[in-house]
Amino acid sequence: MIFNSFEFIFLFLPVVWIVFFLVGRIAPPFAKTWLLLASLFFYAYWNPAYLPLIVGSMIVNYIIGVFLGKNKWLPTRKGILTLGILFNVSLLGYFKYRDFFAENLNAVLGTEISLVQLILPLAISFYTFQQIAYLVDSYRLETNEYNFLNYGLFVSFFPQLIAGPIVHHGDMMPQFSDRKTYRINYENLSKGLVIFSIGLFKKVAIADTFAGYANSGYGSVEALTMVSGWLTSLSYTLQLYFDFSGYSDMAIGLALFFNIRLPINFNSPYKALDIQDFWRRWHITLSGFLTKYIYIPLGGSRKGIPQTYINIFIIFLISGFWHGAGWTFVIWGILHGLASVIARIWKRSGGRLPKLLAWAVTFLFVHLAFVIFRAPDVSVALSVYKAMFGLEGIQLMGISVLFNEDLTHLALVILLGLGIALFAKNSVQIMETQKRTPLMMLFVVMLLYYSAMQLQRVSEFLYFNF
Amino acid sequence: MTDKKFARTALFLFLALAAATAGVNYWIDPLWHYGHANAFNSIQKVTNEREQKIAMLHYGPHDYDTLLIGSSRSTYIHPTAFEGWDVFNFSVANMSVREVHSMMLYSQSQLPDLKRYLIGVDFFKSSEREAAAPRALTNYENKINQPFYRTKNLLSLDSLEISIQNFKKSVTDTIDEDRLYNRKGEAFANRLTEEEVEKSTESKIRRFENVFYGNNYTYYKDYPMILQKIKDAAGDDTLTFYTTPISTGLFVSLVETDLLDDYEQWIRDLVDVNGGIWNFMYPNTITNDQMNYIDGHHFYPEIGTMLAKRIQNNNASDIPTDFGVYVTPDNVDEHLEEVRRLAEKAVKEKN
Repeated sequence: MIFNSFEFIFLFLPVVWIVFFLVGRIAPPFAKTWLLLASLFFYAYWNPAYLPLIVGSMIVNYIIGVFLGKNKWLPTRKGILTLGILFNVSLLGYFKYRDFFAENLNAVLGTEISLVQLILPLAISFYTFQQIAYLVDSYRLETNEYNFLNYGLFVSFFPQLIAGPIVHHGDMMPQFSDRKTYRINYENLSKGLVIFSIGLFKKVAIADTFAGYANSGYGSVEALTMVSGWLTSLSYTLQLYFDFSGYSDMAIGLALFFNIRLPINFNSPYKALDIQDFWRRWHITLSGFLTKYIYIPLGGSRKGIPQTYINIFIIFLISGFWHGAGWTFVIWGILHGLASVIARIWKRSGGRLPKLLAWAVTFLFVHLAFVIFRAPDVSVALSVYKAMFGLEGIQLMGISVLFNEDLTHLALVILLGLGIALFAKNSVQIMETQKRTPLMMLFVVMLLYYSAMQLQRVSEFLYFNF
Repeated sequence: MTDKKFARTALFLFLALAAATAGVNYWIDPLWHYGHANAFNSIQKVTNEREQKIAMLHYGPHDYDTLLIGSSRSTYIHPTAFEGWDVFNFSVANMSVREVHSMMLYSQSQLPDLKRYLIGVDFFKSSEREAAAPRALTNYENKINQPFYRTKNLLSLDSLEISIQNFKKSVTDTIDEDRLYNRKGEAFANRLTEEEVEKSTESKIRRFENVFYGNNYTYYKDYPMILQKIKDAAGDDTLTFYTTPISTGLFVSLVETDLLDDYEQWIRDLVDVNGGIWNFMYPNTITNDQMNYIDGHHFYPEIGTMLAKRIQNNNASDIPTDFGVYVTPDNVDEHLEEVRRLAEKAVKEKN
């Protein structure tokens, strides 16, 4: 089910919410069970075939986690942890990367490994990472006294299930155990309404508008020239931001309706002044996971400067690979890895840029890297780059035909999008404001109303594919 | 304002606005999902004829015994023009001859009492370019069958915008577009002045010459096969083909771009497959008067009514006798010779 769909907003959410609090008054464990079942229904609504996969994965990981958490049979613990991680990596590897490896082996070695062309199980990249973290922490004896209901909800809680944020068991499970969670909390409800409405509007009104332009541009790369190339790439950069942050806002809002606080995943990333700053603001929970479970175990910055740079590079390579089974994602990860290493070297050498220039360099890099992130293959990305750098001419003819919009309108819309991303308060800041004024209420109602009245044009979120 | 008041009022206002939007959209019914008629929804805009007409068939009352299918030209033939027949006019803009078959099958699934089919055919749609590409209603059928399809469209600002336009047109009784419908499925067009007709006809002829006629036209070799498929789909029910009457000005353009032989081939194939066809597409009293057309290509509804009457009653006295000939294998040569003579005369008059 998609957050920006009629079925979700007008049927699933109200029913689940009402029953949750009605039952929660009487028997919180039943409310918890209800929420778990509702989350599984939410997951299965998309493709019931993959329900056994997530349920099986939950059960296996929970059993392994419980075993590791009991700290018995000490000599076997490391082996069991390794098996547990291998189980998760194998699932992800088979469903997400199997064909990618087969295609590359076939190309390099001339083998004829057949492709299975599986549809990627929804959310597998997210719930796999969450469960690996759980296993590692169980091994570290940091996961005591968890029960399966709480664990099941931690993995499948519908607001964060499909596209994150990547939540940590330590943040989530105590909240599911808290009896206060099962009583309506109007502060959470009003905050949830504020951020949910902003997120929904970001997706429906803003991201989907940019999606139209980006799709037109990437659909006709051979026709792109300098101006249309920049319009296309900027449209995607804005689409991705508003789409993904819109989803995260909605997730935070929905969780708050159920008195659950999800971690913040975005903090105005396009305001970043260097690439490290960008990654502290963009997909924060992914960076957190990679830092805690890969960068630090690799030695972090404790093993000298060259090793630190190698470790940084490795986590960005993994990040790229995590985003998709394709060379474009790998290249994108490499570019960010290199940029992060260069930024550190620059900082260590005492280099500083004026604020505006620092922002421009950072934004330009992130934006250019998103071209390869979006392109279906390297040659398309190169075509867009060529156009952007003027190698395909700079003529303005044909722009209105390509985008079905005139140049002035397009430029204004892109400037407006950039203006919101760069200068407006972000949704979490707006949510946290204590102002509960009629004006704020009107703002929320209008955003909700406008967005909910566009639901017949439903479109998927970009991060559903990751 | 407390959080409680904030949350409750916001939710209440949102639901009230959503309900009001759904209410207006239901009342005006701009997508033709409910079928009720009132003074405020008597004039309806076209949003997507295929989707709207499929929705009409799917959700509306099912007492039609006659199915009329054609292109935008045929939309102007009012179902009520046929006496004693309950006609559903399934004509849609830019209809391809390949689409007819899927329209018949869909209609048969919705209308068990169908007895006869009237199929309007256009010469320019017999070209390879226009007829070769496969076309079906599948996407629309899937869309209509989606869960909560009607409810989603009630909760829609796009629908509301059309509802408001329909409301305004209905209360002021304004026909100011090329095609507006009433609740009986009858299409109307705005009345143009002589000067406007002159201009729109000229522009339409230019478009036909640049896009459809001349070198852009090659008679589609599988056209008879498509006709046969339509005939097979009709089974034992009555099947009538008719050609749509274009203005003589547009017909002259066809002749001047050397397509008269293809036209003859087209008529012969129609006659061969079905044993007979009503031909209205040649210079005659109706087509010679360009004021009977919006643009030389689309006729006004009263011409559609004459066409309907002619098909139902060959001897109707209030219709010019030269408007419409039932062509069979017996008279096809004679008729085409006459058309050739009329065409030459029209070309001469034009020049």
